Amino acid sequence: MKRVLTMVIAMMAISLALFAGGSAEESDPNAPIKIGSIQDLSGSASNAGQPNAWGAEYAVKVINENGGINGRMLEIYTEDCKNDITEGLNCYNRLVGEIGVCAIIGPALSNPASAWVELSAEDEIPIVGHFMDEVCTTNPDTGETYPFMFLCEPSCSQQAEDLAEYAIRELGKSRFAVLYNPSNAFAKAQVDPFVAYVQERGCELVASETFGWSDKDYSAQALKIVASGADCVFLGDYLAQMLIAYDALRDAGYTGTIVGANTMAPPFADQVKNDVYDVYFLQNYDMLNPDVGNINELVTKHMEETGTTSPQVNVGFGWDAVMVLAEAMKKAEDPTNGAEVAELISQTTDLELSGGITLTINEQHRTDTMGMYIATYDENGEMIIVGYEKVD
Amino acid sequence: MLLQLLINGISLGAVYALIAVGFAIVFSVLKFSNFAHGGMISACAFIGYFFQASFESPPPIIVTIAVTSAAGVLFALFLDAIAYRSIRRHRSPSIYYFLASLTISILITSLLNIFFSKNALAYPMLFSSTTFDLGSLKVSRMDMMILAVSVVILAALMLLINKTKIGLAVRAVAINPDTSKLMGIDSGAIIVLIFSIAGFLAGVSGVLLGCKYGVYPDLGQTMMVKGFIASLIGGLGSLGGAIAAAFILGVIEMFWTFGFGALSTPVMTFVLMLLFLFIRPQGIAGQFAKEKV
Amino acid sequence: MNSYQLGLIMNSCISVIQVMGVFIITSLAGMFSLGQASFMAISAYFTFILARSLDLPIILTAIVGLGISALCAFIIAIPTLKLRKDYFALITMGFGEMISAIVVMCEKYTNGSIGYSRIPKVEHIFWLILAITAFVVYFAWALKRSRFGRMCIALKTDETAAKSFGIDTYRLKIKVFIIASCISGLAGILYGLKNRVITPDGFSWNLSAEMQIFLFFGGTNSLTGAVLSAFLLKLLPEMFRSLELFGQSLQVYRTAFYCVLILLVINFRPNGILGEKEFSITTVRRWVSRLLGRKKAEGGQDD
Repeated sequence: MKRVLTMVIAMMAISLALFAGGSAEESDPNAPIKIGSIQDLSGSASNAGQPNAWGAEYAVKVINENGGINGRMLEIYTEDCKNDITEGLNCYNRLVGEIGVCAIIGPALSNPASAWVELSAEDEIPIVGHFMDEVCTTNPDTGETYPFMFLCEPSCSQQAEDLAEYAIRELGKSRFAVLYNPSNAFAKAQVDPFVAYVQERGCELVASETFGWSDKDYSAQALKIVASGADCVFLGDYLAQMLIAYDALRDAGYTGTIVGANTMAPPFADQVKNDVYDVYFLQNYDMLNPDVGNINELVTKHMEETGTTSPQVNVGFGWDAVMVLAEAMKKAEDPTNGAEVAELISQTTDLELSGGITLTINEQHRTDTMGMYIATYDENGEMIIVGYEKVD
Repeated sequence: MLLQLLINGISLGAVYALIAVGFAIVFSVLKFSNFAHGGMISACAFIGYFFQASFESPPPIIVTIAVTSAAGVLFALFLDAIAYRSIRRHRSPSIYYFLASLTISILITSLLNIFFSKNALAYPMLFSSTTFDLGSLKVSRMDMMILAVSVVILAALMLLINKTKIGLAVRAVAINPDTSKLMGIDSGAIIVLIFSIAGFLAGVSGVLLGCKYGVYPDLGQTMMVKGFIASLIGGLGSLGGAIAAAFILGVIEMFWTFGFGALSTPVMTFVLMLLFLFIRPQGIAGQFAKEKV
Repeated sequence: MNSYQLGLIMNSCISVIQVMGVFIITSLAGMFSLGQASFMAISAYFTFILARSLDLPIILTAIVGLGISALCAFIIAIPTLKLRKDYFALITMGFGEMISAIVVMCEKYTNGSIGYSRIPKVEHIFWLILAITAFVVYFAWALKRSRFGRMCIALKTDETAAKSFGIDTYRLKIKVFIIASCISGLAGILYGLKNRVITPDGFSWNLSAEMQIFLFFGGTNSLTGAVLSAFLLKLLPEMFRSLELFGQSLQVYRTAFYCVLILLVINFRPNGILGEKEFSITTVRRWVSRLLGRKKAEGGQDD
């Protein structure tokens, strides 16, 4: 019985200890500026979240080495949200309520971010990130922009439209098919605008095939796509599902073009079983090119430091988001004032990011100035950039 | 086209069968749903990958399978030592096995995600071309290999259970562990043997699934649901039933997906489960359906 | 208290309500469900979609949402509760998969995997959740002590014997399952009100499994244990967020740590933390007197 009692008391004590820490408010004008970073570090999208977190932390390190924000150092607190809404809210509340950050770097995922849209306005905490779904920046009911949410890459519909435009204009495709997992928000958010765009341009959608998280065999779907006579198939999932989808299509005898989201980047070509040909996919950066921006330096450094074997585009996301935030903070009179910083972020114009492209934030708190690179694989399986696309 | 779908369905069924038998064998003796199996499959896919990647040129696949299944057995024994042994010692009800296996499954997936999600991994290609033509049909070489390996292993397992003395002991423990003990069967050892067989199967499935679908932390977890459904339709705990049901499920799923799309497949499988329970509550093989009270 | 602490307490309270649902199924009637999260999803989606599309107050649509959960529970209970327990666990798991698929299929109403967001804000949500949690715990306690509860425990202990006493075990099980599913549905609605976004992924079978684990951690037959473990285990992973080892944050290991803790409990306290014990004034008095070192005659019946 005593053991039980001590156990209960111990548990209570632990929970009290949890509540005891933190919340020491400092008003020292030279104290470090605390910012938060919410990323998926141990969940199902951690292969994207881990490099994203690294990129943000590395950016903070570089900024601090170069004198910080007008002499004040930045302090970054990374929280793991596991691509889950409740966990994401815990992260947000901990950063804002407990640690007292004055801005947050968001994840490359829309699901957790969509839960913060109104909180960020109540708390006046600017959130800068790569949640590419429009619902994270604009209220679809009222059309109003959420005042503290900022997206610094093309939104999912812009990306999908860029790819669709390239497929129609440069590749001359007209009969489209999609194969995707509607339970995956990342895929769903790109497939819908892709389909809408190709139909708007007068092309035909001949097949729309789906699969679920627990499905591992897409051969029936692939047979239907072959039978539909499609000449271009869009894939929009995470890498693991893209690999299966590509092989299923080629195994079923599909020889046409396959276009895809930025998850088709290396190591895609090394891991599919069939020959890689006639694939075109989106890239946010020309990351293998050392001459544009510093993205190549970033991905190389990330691979060296963490033992990752292929370049990770998300490193650039983390870096870019911190740069956008830092730029606004440098201009602010009080860099810890969320409202002032948010106002300055919304005025960001022609800021050069890691990819060498400049960013201007528009009224919807997204960007019109950035396009997407179109990449493909050469006969040795090396990624090459073949175009740059921007639909207005 | 119908024949092509049938072949694809049978190949898919072979994958499901391999997983379903891993559950069914544990269920037949210990009467609990071994959720850890999915995590074990993922872990074994990684073990197999790192084994073959440690060589300059990858060893033949059969060596990788053998080594990984041995590792799977060791892994199962390890899990038995840390989680299941004391459940046996306390003579706790089988629900504790169930909880322990659930926890282990979450633990394995979480650790794999933390340590190995940064690099997507894939086994080297086994065949220079992925399919061969059979008349107008395209048959996947990988699928045929999985089918062949599954059939050999499942046949060996059925022989072991149905024709050998050890198999007899396993069946006796499945019916009643305490009475078997009185008959001189070491039921503890039999239970360890069962876990080892499940570990062996996880090793084989891990390598084969890893070859076919790529190596990532959620690999086994996401496939597990299908294996459960197959073992349930087959009549929980019946090996033959699970194998038959797995093939049926594979073929039905393939045709359903072709006809109605994959999105509604979970609805179809649920209705199928309910229908089976209505028409044939004892499962395909007709064992274990009613609890003995 | 700041928003973080309030948020964690709300999470824990919702977790307590969820576990009360499985407590009624598992501890009173001896069945295991791996699909309780899907009842959370059913109630939550129906409540919020009806509230928005028909412009009705949430309190009204919540009743409809709970009713639909009850109806679904009734429908799947009819064929499955005649079978052995293991079938029930797996059927409910299949049911959960089906519900997730249906949510994605009906994207016109549910917004699919993108998530149903912009759930209206409720004033005093913290107190609301606290009050409902207290009510649900009281309800479970009263149910356990009622004639109905005693019938359930008879059923759990020995089904044949219960039958011979004239208890219609089949109907009893159906009733238990419906009550439990309503409680899970209630947890789902509160989850939606608190997070203000719901997605099909948030109601996966992992959540159902978590509820069962919480219940056994606290002690299979102890309501006190179930409440405590549901509350504290939900809190525990969050504590790892602030832990550091050699300057390296341990937050990513929080799930792993808590799995290890559960394995330890299964190994060393096979009846859960509290076993069958319940909180009551007499036990508290006994604890106090124990602590003061007095000998008590009834001490022997403790573990």
